[in-house]
Amino acid sequence: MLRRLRRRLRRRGIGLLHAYVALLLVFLFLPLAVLIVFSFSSSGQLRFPITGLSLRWYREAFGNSGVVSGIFASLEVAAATGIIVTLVGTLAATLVNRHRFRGAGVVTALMLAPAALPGLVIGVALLNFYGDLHLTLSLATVVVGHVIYTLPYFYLVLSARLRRFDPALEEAAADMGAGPWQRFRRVVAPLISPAVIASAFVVLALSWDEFQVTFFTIGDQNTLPLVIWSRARLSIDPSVNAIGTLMVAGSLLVVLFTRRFIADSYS
Amino acid sequence: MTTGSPLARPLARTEPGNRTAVQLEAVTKRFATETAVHPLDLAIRDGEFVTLLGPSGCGKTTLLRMIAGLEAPDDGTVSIFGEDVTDRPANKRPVNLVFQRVTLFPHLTVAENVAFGLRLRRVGKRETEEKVRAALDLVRLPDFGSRRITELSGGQAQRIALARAIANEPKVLLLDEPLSALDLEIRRQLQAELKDIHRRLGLTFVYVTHDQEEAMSMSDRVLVMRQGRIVQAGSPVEIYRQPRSAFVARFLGMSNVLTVTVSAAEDGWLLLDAGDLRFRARQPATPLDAGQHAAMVIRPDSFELRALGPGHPEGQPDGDRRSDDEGSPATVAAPVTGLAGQIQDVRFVGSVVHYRVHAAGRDWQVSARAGHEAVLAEGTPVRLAWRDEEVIAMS
Repeated sequence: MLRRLRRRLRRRGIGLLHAYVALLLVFLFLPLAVLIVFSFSSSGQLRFPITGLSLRWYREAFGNSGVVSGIFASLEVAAATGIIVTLVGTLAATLVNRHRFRGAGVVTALMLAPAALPGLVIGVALLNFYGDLHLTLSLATVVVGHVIYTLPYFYLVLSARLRRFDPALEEAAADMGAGPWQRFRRVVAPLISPAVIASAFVVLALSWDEFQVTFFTIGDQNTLPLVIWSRARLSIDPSVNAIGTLMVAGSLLVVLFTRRFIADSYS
Repeated sequence: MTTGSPLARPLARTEPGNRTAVQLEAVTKRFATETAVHPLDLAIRDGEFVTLLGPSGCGKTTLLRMIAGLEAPDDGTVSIFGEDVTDRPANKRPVNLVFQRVTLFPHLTVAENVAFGLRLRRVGKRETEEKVRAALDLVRLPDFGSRRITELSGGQAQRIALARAIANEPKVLLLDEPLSALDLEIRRQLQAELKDIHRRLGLTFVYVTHDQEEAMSMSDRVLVMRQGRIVQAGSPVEIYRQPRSAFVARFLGMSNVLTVTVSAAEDGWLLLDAGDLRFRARQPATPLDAGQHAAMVIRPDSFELRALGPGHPEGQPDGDRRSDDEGSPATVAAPVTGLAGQIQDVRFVGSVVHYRVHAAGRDWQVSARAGHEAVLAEGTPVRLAWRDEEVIAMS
């Protein structure tokens, strides 16, 4: 009797939990779904139900030179940021995690600090800094901002892997006759490379759609998020939906790719 | 430090050569607050199987790592086959180490792991393949070359680690408790195989363990370490027969270790007082003086055990009564050569029976060959006897 009641309550509880998760997912993804649906609409009216399907807005977006140059600017910035952060971050994370030195904790804290700062603050601070140095704003100044903003994430992901790296493996390599460079090339590098690549993709994804820092440090060449922002500000332009959908698709691909890499890493 | 006598060495095997494989001179290692290895001299002969035996923290692993080049001594020199390698890093020393934990490279296959050192030395492809195959044959995993490291069991992984070290053709093979993480059965099997591999290769083995049975069963020479010092060195038989200190006796798992005071020493004999019992023992190699605090051992297999009839006056559970074999009345000054007591516990393990006998207010471990004699039951009144020659005195 009591047991049956308890079972029924539990079943109802599970039902509630399902409903809650479903609601949460709707809340998270409804705006995205709307965006994607409207990007394929044939009319310029943002109204349900849509009257027909077309790739009109994609054609329009790619026909617009601003959008295309925005895509290239974003790719350039993301690539430069990715390369710089990968080099600097790998070196820093390796040094701190594998050669515990005095003050390593302080270095880690400082490395992670920008992640806690609002992008707005980083942007404004950089703008002042560039102004003091009389630097002309350009994509290069954006890259500097993106490096500051994404480095903590890279550092964090790679550190997690390095902390699980058994230093005895390096000792074994040394014992087998490998010098410092050979130890790095033949043992350390192959073992941490999946984590490095995964972290690099996180950086690419973050840089690709970064807005706040970019907004303050951009010169006369806009990145894609800024193109979208300036167009959406003037009027609701359905081609923005198409661009947005492409960005979502791009980010999704990066995430899936990264997951594969993390799953494949040896640990 | 005594060295192993040739007679104590197990027969039917290639004798270690006269060349010195490893020579340590005044080697010292200090860590922040403590000294891990006190100035220490050691010579290991070519082809010898030497074991460093001691409890954790005694400095045995540090010593091994200093030979490997993974730890730098603060003082002293390390030489390998006459060459001073003290200032050479691990990758430039002709030795290889099998680690306690699995340190195979997880991104490489078994064969690639075994070939690791050969590839670094740019050994030709065919020669590398041959050596890898030979090494895998030696550890009895000939078909494992293409396996991934993650597919190996603990025992297999250590075999591959051994193959990796041997394939690299070291002049000295170092082993740091390679079997301690394995199950008893696999450990026993690998102990036998290691000994066999040592015999077949004629290579110098320096082995570290805290397991006295492992040390005793495999080594030509055992070095017992304590707090950064070698406290006794010798063949397993020598160490077992003549432990020089209570620490060594206890560490070797010996029972019946008594703390005593030397009350007299003359003509190569000692009188030892343990509470109100007095024993007669031979003067050990490092002589003891009258008045000195010392220890003594009567090994479990040194006793003669005889059941007393139930009506026997000595057969009382209280075995505290002193007696001697000649039947003369006991005096306080005369050493005992026998005790009456009662069996508390019986463990029959096939060829041997282990008894715990309560006598003279303490428990004695006694082992008797099971042979054809009857196994005595718990509670049986017994008489323990021993010869004075079997009482081992030590510092």
